[in-house]
Amino acid sequence: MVRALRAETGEPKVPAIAAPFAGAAYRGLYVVLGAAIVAATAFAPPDSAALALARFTGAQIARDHSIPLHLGAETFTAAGAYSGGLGWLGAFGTELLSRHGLASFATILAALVAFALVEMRARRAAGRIFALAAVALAAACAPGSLGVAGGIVSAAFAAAVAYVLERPGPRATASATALTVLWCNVAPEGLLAPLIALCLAAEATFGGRSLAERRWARAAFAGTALATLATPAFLAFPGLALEALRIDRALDGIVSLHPVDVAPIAYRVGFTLAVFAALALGLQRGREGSIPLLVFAAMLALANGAFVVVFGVLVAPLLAGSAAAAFPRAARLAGGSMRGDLAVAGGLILLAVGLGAYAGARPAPLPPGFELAARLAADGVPHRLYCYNVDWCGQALAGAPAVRVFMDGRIAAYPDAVRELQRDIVRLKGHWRKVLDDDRIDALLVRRDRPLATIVALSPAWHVVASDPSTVLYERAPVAR
Amino acid sequence: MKYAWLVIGVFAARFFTTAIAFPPGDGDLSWQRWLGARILSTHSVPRSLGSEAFSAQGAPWVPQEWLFGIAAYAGRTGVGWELFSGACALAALAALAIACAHAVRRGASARAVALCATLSGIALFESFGVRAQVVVWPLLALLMLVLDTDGPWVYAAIAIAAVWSNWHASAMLAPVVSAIYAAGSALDERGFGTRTRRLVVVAVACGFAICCNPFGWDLPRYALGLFNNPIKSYITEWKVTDIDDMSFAFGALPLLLIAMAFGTREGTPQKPNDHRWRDLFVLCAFGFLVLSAARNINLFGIVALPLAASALSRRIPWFARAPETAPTRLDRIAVYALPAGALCVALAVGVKLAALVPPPTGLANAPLAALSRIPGEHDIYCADFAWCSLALGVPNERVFLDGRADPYPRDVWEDFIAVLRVEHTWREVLDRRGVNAVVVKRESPLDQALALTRGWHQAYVDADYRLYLRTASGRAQARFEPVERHVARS
Repeated sequence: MVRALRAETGEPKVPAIAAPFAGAAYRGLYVVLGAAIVAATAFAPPDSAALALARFTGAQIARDHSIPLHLGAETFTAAGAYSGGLGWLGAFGTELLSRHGLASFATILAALVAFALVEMRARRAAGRIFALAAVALAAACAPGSLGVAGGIVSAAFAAAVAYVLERPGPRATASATALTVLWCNVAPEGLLAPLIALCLAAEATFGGRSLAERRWARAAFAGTALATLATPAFLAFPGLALEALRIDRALDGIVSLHPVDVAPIAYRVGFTLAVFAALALGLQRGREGSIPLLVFAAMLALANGAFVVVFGVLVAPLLAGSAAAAFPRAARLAGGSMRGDLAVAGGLILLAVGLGAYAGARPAPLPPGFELAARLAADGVPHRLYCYNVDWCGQALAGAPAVRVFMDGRIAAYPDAVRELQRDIVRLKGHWRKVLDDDRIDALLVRRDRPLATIVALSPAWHVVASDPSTVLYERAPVAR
Repeated sequence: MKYAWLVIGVFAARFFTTAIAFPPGDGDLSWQRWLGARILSTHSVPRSLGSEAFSAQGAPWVPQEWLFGIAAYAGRTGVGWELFSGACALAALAALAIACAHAVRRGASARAVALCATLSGIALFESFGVRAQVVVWPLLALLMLVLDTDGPWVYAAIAIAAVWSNWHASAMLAPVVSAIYAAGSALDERGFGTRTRRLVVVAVACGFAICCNPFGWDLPRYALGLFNNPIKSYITEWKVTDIDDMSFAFGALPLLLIAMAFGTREGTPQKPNDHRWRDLFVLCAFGFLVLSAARNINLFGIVALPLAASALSRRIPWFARAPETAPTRLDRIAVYALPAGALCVALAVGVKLAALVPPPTGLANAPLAALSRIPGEHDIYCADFAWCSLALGVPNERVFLDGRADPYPRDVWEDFIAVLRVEHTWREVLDRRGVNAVVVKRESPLDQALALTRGWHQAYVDADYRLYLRTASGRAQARFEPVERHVARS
């Protein structure tokens, strides 16, 4: 049973090797893997911090019918600071979908799109069996990013940009540019699009592509770079987005960046597996031009653990190509058909609808710090709040318009001086007590096992109003206030 | 190798200057000298903590660095110090040179070796110092070289393992690496061939060889115990590798990426790499180690140099090795001129670096000196446990935790961290353990907490440190103060 693989799927036109039951086994694996991805996404906890801030911004847009370009009175340290409306479309969409209980379904769909694009890109160079392995590897890099607002949407965009630009041409250039415009408005991670395009342009230049392809690859880079300006922040977008990506080290001490802290399972399992696979296989001979993409993806993942998933979707197809070159017979095993693929995809979407509806109806429990923040917000008192973890303050904002915060998760918009003060208070450095007094902060949400909690407890100016096993909420004593 | 000499020359300048002119700031040398003095005076290696550690007296101890301790004591001053610290720098350079020779032996070109030697040297940077770990770097490089020989020289690994085990417990790597080589070799040979059999014998023999030291079986047991030891989470060196680590970002990571990009496969079925599985296993093992803990960055740098350089030479034409030709006059001159040039570079850079003013050691010498002048018995808690190494051997002073770190039981570590992080039990810990002197950095959280606490008074202060002593009735006062005052909200 020999057949030429379809040209429209981009598979190599080499005779497939007949193998008894290969088709059934392949389709079975496809179903199992897809169902596992759908289920894992449906039951993954949401990124509470990102979700709270997205809903806060989305609600603002829905209420005011305008995109907020500056921080508002919700913060007392940086009111009026330029925020550029980063990720306004994503925030608005999240709020809209969450209101209607569709956020889980949309996330599952994004995950399916991301992994389908990985499969299609891998299949071009590696055949179906290794394409499936590429999906498994990419999925191993995804735990921690599969929840609502957890980063899988950016992975889907990255996979899409890499897919369309791998074969440079006028249509690819136009599609990548349009995708970048959309991505930049959905999330600041859109800034990654021109960088991916640059890596792929380098691959085209050094990988022996035709002159036309090289030109289109460079045009795609130019197009995606220009597309980053098509946001409300315009020229300020690249700078603001770069800070929001949290890949610089300026935010160390304010937010967690290391992959082990941000996405421990993805780093220890997926990233490590990818490293081992790369050590075993290397890049396919003749595809040394992919080195910039490999290096870029690895550096991104190591700089901020939130991007281990992006590393997975970008690198897994490259490794699949290498595996196919190393084991050419396995790469040519026949399996599946277009009709079969469509049936499996349809089934997975039905599963996504079911699980998405179930997950959407299920209230997600808040992590400890977020829970206290939500409780503080619910009492309606106009507190001036300092949070040990800036994400807790985002939760407080989402829960109560009355609360005003020292600093929240929109770190990119806060001036350096405020970041420095945030860090100083956490580390009890400098005149941290004076800062608390001068800013008339009357509520502190701190981690119980950190010096700040103990030192505040020693001071008669503060008293505990609520606590859980890991967090304590202090309020200024009435006299001190 | 010819360009690599220049690279080694630059690193030589850096390493010699750092070792001789810049005093180490981790406090380890203090307790190692104390250990050396004790071994020389008692003619025996201590096997438990003594009365100098009031929190864990009698706790079992494997002073794995005993030979280094003797050397440190012998070379504590004057010319002895210059010889001793210079030997440490020489060890680091020897590791680089052996790894470069290994790369050349594997077919790497001069350019590839020079590039990878630069990256490997950077990977050694942050860990380099006058330390026992550094002394064993050339042993690791030598072990990799002999294991790769495929001939009877492979048995030299057994002697290397035995020597290694007397300097540092990382000798445990010797049987593990040999076993990895044996497993890889079995797959490369597709069976239990001569090469594999030899490596299996070496692996087993290395297992016994690492017991050839005063501690016998206790050394490998101690090394294995470190894997699950919770104290690792409290020691900076054991932290998970971060891209902020300069040695990783600019040294080990590029080596890892080179190895990842070019893999261990030859890629063409016609020309199989007959060490493929071996190389893969070694790279995966050390790749895992480098991503797991910052202290393994240097080991990866040494191990990956030959593998990455040979991969580069195989896959990138610019790095390909030039065909062998009869040496020209220029080549013959270069053989002498390049090492000589390296020496000149080393001297020039060394002279420049030596002119710099050494930074402060970061050790609390002054407050501890002040404490030694205060009469009475002192049970000291140092906010950085390495500082307390300076107090070892001082009459009337006992320490809570010092730079020896490993032998202290888990409960001591937990109490140490509770006080350091000013957790809600911190005062109770100081009372229970009977601490009566605390050395802290000024304005640190513990400093602020002690300043707010009755029962302690400041006995010494300078620009960097503060020394607190317990007041006579402090214990009773401090113990009963409530930690939190809960107020019901209306």
